Amino acid sequence: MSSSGLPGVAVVQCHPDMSAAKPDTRSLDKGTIRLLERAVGKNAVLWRPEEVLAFEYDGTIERAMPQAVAFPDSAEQVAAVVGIALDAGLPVVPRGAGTGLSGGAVAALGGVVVALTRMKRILEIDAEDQLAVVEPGVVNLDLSKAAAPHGLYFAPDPSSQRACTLGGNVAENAGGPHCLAYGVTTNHVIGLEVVTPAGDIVEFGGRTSDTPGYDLRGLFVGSEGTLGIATKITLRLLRRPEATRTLLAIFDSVDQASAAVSAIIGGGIVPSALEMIDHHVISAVVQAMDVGYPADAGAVLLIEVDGLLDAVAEQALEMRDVCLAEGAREVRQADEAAEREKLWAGRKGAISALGRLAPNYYVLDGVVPRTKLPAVLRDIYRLGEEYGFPIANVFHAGDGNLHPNVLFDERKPGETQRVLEVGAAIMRLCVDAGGTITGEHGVGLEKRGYMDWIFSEEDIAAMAKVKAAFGSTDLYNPCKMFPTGKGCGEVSQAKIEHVMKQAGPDAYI
Amino acid sequence: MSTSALSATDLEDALQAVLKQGSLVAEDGSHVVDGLEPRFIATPYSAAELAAVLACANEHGAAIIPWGAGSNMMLGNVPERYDVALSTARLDRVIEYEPADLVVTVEAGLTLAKLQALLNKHGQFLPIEGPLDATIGGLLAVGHGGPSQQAYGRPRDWLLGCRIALADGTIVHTGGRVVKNVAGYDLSRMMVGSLGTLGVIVEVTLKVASLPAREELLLNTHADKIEACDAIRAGALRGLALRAACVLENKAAYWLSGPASAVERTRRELYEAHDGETERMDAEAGVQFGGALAVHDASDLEFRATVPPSKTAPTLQEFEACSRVLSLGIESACYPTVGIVLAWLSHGDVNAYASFIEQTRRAAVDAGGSLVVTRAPTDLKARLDVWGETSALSLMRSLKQEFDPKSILNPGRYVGSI
Repeated sequence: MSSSGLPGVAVVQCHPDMSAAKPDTRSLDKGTIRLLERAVGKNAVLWRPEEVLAFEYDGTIERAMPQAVAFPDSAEQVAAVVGIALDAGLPVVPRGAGTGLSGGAVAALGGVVVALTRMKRILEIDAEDQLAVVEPGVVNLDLSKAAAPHGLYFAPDPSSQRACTLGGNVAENAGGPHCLAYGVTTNHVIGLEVVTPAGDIVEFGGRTSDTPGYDLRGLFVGSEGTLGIATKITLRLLRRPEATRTLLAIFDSVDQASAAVSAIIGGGIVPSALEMIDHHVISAVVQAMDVGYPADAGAVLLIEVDGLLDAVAEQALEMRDVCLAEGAREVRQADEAAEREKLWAGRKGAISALGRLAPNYYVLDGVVPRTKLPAVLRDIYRLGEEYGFPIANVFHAGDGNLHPNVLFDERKPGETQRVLEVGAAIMRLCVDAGGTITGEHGVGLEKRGYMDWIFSEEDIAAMAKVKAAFGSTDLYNPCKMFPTGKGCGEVSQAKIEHVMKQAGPDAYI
Repeated sequence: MSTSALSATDLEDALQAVLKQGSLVAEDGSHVVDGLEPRFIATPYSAAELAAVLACANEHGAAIIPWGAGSNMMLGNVPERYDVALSTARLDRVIEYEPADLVVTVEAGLTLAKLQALLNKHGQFLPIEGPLDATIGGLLAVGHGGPSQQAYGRPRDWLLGCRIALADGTIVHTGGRVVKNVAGYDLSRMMVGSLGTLGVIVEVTLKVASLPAREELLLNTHADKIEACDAIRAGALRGLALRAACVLENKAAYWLSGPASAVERTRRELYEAHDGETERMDAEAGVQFGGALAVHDASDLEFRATVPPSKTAPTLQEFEACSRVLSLGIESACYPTVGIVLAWLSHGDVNAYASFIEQTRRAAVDAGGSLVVTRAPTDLKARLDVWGETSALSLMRSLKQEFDPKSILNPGRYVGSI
């Protein structure tokens, strides 16, 4: 049976030297299916291979077939599903919308996917205290829409915000363009209700920014679904600013644009967003839509400032001057919402526009100190030339958070493997420049092999203590984040076929 | 292991073996915590030496109290045991500072004053507030936000990474030196506010901010505290350029901060909206603001309530009513935009204080918040849990068990007597 979607892109060697024994995962039997159906409802469990096929991948290249997908509708049901799966010796894999970019929702060893998409109620919007209480399946943008009548919004805005869920945002500590001034997800989560791997329903934090005791909330956010499942999330909402100004600074070269980024950050103004779009991406964008980016530009910066009307006018002028001093050939300014949205459309549609340039692209996520941006970008382009792939960059320049996109054609034999190699080389560049392997996409399945580039054995052991304290085991979202999971060496076509065979005779009634 | 099983000479010999000459002295009355004196004071010269002290104490089951500048030692329950005060005073080096990246790495024993002086030279600062002689490691271990958290967030939001000496003497690092990083569990955040019960922070990498273009202080006099609270909340809702706002007596104190044009507009609006007396101070707004809060030495007990911001005024009213009933003296400062009430009590006895805390804590919890006693006489601490009830306590205990199985770090001082 073939794995649908992108044919032939299934083989990923995540961590070549992992030969440890697999945890004792079992096959899914009829009894377990019945128990799951009793817990969440007959219509809320999928287990036939053709049904669970759509849950074998997220936004990354990796894929693996789960044995069942359960859709709980309450914290109690989540606890029940987790208990049933673990008791049956099956891995548990939490999942939001499946838009993640590090394989976090991939059932690497099969098992039961706990899909949180039924839990999508916005339980409360408290305009006075500027907070919202939501279930994990609420879509990121839906919260901002619901908060809009109160003049409020939720700041983290990952590019997938029309689809991704807040539970997933919490798990991955998601970012987005506007995190430069306002912080990533962890800065906006004040309380959580969590079902622990042991099945307890516990509360972290609360309705205030400070609660006595260890910051379990801070530990949980970004733990990539390895410490439990959030079933209720209390989030801080921000007040819409009085005024917003968006600038598009057009440069002949990426170098000039990088220098402008350093000058802006070093100069003391923190824009609410500072994004760079390079010439590869610009050429894709101008083919795909009419947003007025000049086709011959080497790079553009999209800069936004917000706040009091008087101040943003002053800051916009300052930014403009900095960009011109760094060699911008033109700086356009948009004051009205419609104009600003047009400038942003190019940024927001950039990734999907890449399809104009190549059949496939591989999105990377790394961070470097902002002063290292020009040098690291030069090296990234050089690596692209060495490996024979165009690399298109569209990223959160103000944070030093790079998103190189390797453009390739999976139909060419060996390309996928070489893409992963150049990806690793780019990650190495980031680490060598004093940076890190992920700024907002997470480690997941994809980058476990790089964890020991930035953390010692002792560092990882300290993280394992946290995992142990939460009662998390090898069966709880296995093969994520930790560099040496048992039996997580590869997720291959053979593995997938094996899983499907396992699900086969016994599962079919 | 109980201290009685511990031979003082064995411990001393073991500590002398890992420390440089002169780094270990007998207690001299300078490191007392809640009336308890340690046997020794260790002041290591390096993180490695500090870790060796921990390894040694861990082996001997000796209780350690990590000590920065000692400015917050009154926080916490009465220690169960206390053998060694472990000072970070000599870990005060600047490891790396790249102003253009707005990132600095320093050892944990550097004082806030020294760090701010270094950053100020480059037009930058760290928006974490506390006593200027406090160490940066100590401030993070306590983790309380100061007045500026309205504009700058919590101390935990500025910590990008750190090195931690664990109870068994291993040194681990967490996070990194870049402003955005989601690799691995966020152990940095775990350390903030953990009061040195999971490990000792030995080095920190912090994000820093550029100094605002313009700052000033505005004091508006109101009829009473409640009116001042309401006025502050209304100003914040309009998105005015405020770094902090505080109610002191019947005055609303505004710390204006930002680009010159935003500060001017804010001053204009706050001035125009107010028909009472107004006082404006140009220079050193921060110093004035901090200074206004500091002088409460005459009080017996100090506490901090955190509530949803809209509940600040009602909570304050509750506190004052309760103090009247119990005939206690109360002074307070509150931050209506972030929901923090600080209060100082005097003129009471242990019974009255205990009953005050019990009642006001219930009010804070009912309002959706919490109340922590940040300073109290030892005999009062013996009667109440300074932290109050905590959710997920069993998970916190598991965490402590994993990181400090012999409970040598600050035993008994933290929530749930962890």
